[in-house]
Amino acid sequence: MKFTIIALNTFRETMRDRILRVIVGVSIFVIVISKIIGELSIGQDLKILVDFSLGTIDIFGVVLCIFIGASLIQREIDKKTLYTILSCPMNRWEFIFGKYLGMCMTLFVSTLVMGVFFCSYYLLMGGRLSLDLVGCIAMLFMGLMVLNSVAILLSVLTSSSVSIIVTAITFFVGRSTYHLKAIPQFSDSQVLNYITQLMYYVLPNFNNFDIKEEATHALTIPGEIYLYAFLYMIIYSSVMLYLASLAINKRNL
Amino acid sequence: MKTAIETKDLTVVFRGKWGVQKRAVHNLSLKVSEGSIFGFIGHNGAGKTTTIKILTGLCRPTSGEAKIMGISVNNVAARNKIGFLPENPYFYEYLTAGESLSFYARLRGIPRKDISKRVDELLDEVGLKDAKTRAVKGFSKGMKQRLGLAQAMVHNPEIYILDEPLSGLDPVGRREVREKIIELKKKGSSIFFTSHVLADVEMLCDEVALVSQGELVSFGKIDDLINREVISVDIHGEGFGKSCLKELEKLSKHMVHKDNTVLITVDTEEKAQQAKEILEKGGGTLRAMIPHRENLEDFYVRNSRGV
Repeated sequence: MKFTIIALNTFRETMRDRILRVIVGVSIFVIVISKIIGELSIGQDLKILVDFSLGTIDIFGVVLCIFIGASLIQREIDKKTLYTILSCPMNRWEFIFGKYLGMCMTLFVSTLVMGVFFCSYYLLMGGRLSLDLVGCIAMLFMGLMVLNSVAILLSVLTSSSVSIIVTAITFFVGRSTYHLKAIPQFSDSQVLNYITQLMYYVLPNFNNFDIKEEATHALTIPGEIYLYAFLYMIIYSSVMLYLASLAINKRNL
Repeated sequence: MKTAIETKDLTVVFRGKWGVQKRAVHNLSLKVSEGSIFGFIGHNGAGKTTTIKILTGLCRPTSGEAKIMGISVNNVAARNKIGFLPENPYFYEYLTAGESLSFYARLRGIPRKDISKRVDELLDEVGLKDAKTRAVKGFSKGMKQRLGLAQAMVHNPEIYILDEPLSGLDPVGRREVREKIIELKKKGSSIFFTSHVLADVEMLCDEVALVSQGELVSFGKIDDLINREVISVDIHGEGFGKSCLKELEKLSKHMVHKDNTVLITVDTEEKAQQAKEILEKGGGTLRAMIPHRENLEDFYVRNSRGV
């Protein structure tokens, strides 16, 4: 179980990264000021607090994934720290999986810190905490796990800067997959339709993890939504990590 | 004697940009005996580091095979047998020296209860005891090299693969590493190392292999490879008459004289004897006569291709 050693070390590495502290600090600041912004509306301040805070947890988690996760493997190759690690009796997939798990642990801790702060602040401001609000934060975390697996794959395949850019693009396109699916209704081009359909099925669909709107309006979220998101996260991440393992296995360091 | 490392027709071809192929290693066949110190020498870009990367599982051979204690390098189990020090070792800079070694000890499967003791022992052995709690970020090149050696030793491997272990060290550090290599050999380990410091290689190694442009040029015991006959003699004399200078100049390959002293180099022992007689006839005194035999550096220069 060498991947657990790599995971714990990656967790320690990323937790000591200054970017993490800055991002979590800024997100907490945004959650605090969202109440002030909410006060500009009439009777909607708590809704705006929830909306703003969930959006903040989501976006700042994505920023973490992009700026730390997307360079995680390439940084090891560039800095040659990989040499002494992979010369140990360990399969390369264990290294990839360990790196992924370590980054997921960091995302979990940062989401937990932001989530706990938001929930406490919300309660303090007179809000009523529901299970679906907590579920919404858990869903955001699952989305980050999927994005992290994409970032890890790209980090094996390309340089850090390209990986950061492509991960960011993947996230934004992955949030707009419904638009991709709708394109054939408006276009006669077979090629364009084929490409958009391909992108729809290949790119991660982050809408599966986005229940912010329902949570903001305190709507009941069926259990199947969580189950489907969970299964999607497991399958999509596994495929990404499998491809990353194949890619690093072929790579001469 | 058993074979610690063996390569057979090892070839590595890298595909560069635009599909251009670059041959880094070509048909390399080597055998390193168990318990020996083996020097792997060659100029920059000769294929030394690529060969080491194959042996440590960082690179895949295009063709041929390499084995560590009879186990193919493609098998993860082969890496249990080796301790590897890369050239200019790199570590996680946010970790302290103690944390780094604990990390490698866990990767090497050392039981958790033994790690702390082993880390302290190793830090003491490489002279980094006082730096245990210091972050690697602030380490000098020499300190990183020592830490690299400690991580290679963490699991007491049977084979050490050391890429330029003496680079970046001050004279005292170099002597310590040399002594450490000899100590490891005495304990029964095999050492495969590369170095550009040929005096060290000559001093330490039982066998050497010289590679050039990815191919094996020479391989064997140092005494078998090097011509031990005298190749030149330096003669230092003084107090001679000016008349003998012309005669000495005719004999010498190279001559320097200043005031009343002369330093000449001749290419045979017979000529050295003649020079000595000329000096003494001219009323001079022979201060020193130093014969030179071929060393590893001469052998290297004689045999390296395309350097």
